[in-house]
Amino acid sequence: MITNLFETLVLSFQDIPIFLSVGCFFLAFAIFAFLITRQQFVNLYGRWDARSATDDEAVLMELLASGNVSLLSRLHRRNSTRDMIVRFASKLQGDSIHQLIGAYSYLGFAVDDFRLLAQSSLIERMKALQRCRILRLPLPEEAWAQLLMNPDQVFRWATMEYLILLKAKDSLLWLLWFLKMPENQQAGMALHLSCCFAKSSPFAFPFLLDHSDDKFLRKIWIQTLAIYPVDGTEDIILQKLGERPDIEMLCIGMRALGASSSESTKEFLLRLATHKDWNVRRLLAELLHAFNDADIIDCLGYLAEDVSFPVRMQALETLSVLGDSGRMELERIARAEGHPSNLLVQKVIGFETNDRRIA
Amino acid sequence: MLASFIAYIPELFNTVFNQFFSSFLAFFFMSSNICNLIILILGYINCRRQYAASNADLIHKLQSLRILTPISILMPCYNEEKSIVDSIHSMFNLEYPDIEIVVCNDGSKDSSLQILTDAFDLVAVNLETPMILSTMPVRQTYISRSDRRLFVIDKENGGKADALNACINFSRNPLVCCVDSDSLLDSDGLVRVALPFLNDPDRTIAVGGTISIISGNGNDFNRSVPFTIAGMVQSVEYLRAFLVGRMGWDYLGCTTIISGAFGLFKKSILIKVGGYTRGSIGEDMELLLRLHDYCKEHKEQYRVHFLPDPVCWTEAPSDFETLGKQRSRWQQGLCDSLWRTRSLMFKKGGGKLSWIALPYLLFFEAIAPLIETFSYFLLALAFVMGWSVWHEVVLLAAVTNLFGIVMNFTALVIDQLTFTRYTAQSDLLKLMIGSVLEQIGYRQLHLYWRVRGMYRWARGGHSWGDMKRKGFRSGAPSTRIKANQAGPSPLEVTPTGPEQDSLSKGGAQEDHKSA
Repeated sequence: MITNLFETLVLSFQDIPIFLSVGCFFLAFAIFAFLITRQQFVNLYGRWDARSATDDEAVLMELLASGNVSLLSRLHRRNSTRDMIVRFASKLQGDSIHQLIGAYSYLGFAVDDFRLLAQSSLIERMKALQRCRILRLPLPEEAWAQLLMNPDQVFRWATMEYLILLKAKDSLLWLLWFLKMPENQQAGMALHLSCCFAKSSPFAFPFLLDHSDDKFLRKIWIQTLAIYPVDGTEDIILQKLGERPDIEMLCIGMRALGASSSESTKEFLLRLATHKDWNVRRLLAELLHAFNDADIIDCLGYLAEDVSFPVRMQALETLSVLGDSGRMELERIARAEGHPSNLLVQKVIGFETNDRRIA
Repeated sequence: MLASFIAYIPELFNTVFNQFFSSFLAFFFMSSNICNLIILILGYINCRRQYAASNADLIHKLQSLRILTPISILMPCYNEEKSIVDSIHSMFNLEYPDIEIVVCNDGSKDSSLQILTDAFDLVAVNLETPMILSTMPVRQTYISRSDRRLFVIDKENGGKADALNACINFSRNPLVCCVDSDSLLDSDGLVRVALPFLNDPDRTIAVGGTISIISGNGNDFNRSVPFTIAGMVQSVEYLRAFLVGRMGWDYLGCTTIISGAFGLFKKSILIKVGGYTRGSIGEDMELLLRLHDYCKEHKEQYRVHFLPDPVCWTEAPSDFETLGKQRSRWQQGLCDSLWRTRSLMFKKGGGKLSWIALPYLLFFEAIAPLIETFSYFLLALAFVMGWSVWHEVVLLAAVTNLFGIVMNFTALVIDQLTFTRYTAQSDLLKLMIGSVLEQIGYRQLHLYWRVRGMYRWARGGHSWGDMKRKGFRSGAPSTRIKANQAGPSPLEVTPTGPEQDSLSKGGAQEDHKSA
């Protein structure tokens, strides 16, 4: 009996892999069937939903042209109409937007979007957020904090961006709160949001930089100032860079300083001509185009003799856009026998020793 | 006694095959199917996540800002006279604020260098860059007068890895993007692939994008599915491999390959690991495994990303002869890479990579062709000998092939539910036909090519051979692609075998011969 039982078990175990293989197949097929059904359902629903799209489009056009709100009752509450309103809103400006928002709210789409934002799949949430953003629908105050705590980082990012867009200057506290959370301290995201804020309020950044002790935020503020420069911030930037900044911070600071043309900035930059890192020297050669005096030409002439090819090339490029003084320096280099950039000027930049421009 | 033993041999075979090999095969196919099912589910989850992120439309906002890290595009070139100029033009058309292009002419025997010189007004200059990574001797370096972002290195032939190392030496930017010289990128592909570096610059070391097949006749091309059996089948393979396989592994944080046709790397880490390995056949996979190894060894926090929407379009073999050579080489590359990085396998502290991803590659990608071939052999033998086991083997083969077809169709549906790369009815029909053909007929052919590749690898063959090229002759490639594209995406598979790794090596690489 034991032998029979053993044989039965062995035979059963032998069949397990085959059963499991078949099971995998059926499971995969079930997934496929679910997805294809869903996709086909979405397609079919889309077609059914769009059956009155043409009528709604005509009504919307009439509404925008006449401003007659009684036309709202002729609109259908369908997804195709919703998407059409959003599409129109993304292309229009002024009072038309308000009419579209009115239509959107009247049909209940705004409430739907709020509901989707509160609880739905990530894709639906993101789409709802995009629609709200395009229409600039104000969200309930208590919703912001909840949305900004969403586990998905891109969603948080998009929400914060929306908040800045909507609340403009009032969003500063939100932004600071948001960026101080460790999970949000990602350079690209932070810089993007900072730039969004800087578009409307660039003058807040010198203050932010001056009062920021957080290394990450300091870096972000300086980068933002490099993109949206504010006059009179050179001293604060120089102070925040400190005595020995690392290369990355130094380059960021140089870009921020390069936007101004004060004497203190120029002195600081000129000192970097002998910096050991060629990336710094190359960036210096690039930034010096903002100034145009004898010191700068001399510095660029010095950089044109640099041991690093990229630095020399950049110095020559900058000289080539500095007008007559730069042109004279290039001619001098082209004539100088044995100068390390001599051939570069002749062949690449386009000067010949007989002063003829060939490029 | 001898006679009785001989008479017993058939019964012995019957017993061995019935009791052992059939069970082994059943267990193997079961494991393979379960793994692939898990990858399918993970891939779908990851695709939805990435698709949700793409709805935020952040890329185009970022492009307006000057906050993206400068990138050096590295293009090794070997006998690419037909496509190199158009490829470079397409790179210049990319929507990225700060790029330079470093082309390495790796001792081409055709007139690639002359064509480049004429097209871009190259002049010889001494770039005087320190040779951080050792390469074959550089003959001359050039800079373009028409666009000073283009540098060309002319060196002696040393293979693709050597050419890429030369490009790394001469590149000036902190990020390097390795592309094939017959590749065309989506116009915003570079921005998308650079995004992880922007967000997490300290930890991100490499990001890969999806490869898709270009359809065309050399004078014109587009993003539709080629109307050839080889084209349809390959389109399905690429779709499944990238959208399911790679995305699934990326979800687990176990990306083992970033295609040589399109990958973005942090230059400093490439230099730390010594760049690409000269003589390696699957240099892209081998490099990524070494990067994993280096970071784990030095206990560095790091991330490797794979993104479905930055798409690189490449020319694929249009006939079965070339396709067979390519797939054999890919199998060689897979075996070679696994062999070179064997110390990573089951390594203590190696994490999921060492204990899940690499064993999967070994058993279900590298060794699988042998086992599958054996199953066909067993089936034939059992059928001839009248053993009952052939019923089981047929059932297993049927289930596995059907499973593969379902995987193909599911990948197609995932594409439709997310990035919707293919929208035309004709394309969908071609992909459906390709999904069936890929498992019935092509799979068996593919099996032969892979076994041949393993044999060549075992014999030490390292030749890449040549691939017939048509080239692009249509002006501004990336612009044209952008014009009729809805939204990019892509992927890779697994039930059949090595696509997972091999697909990475998209197009042009095979034109390179190792030294």
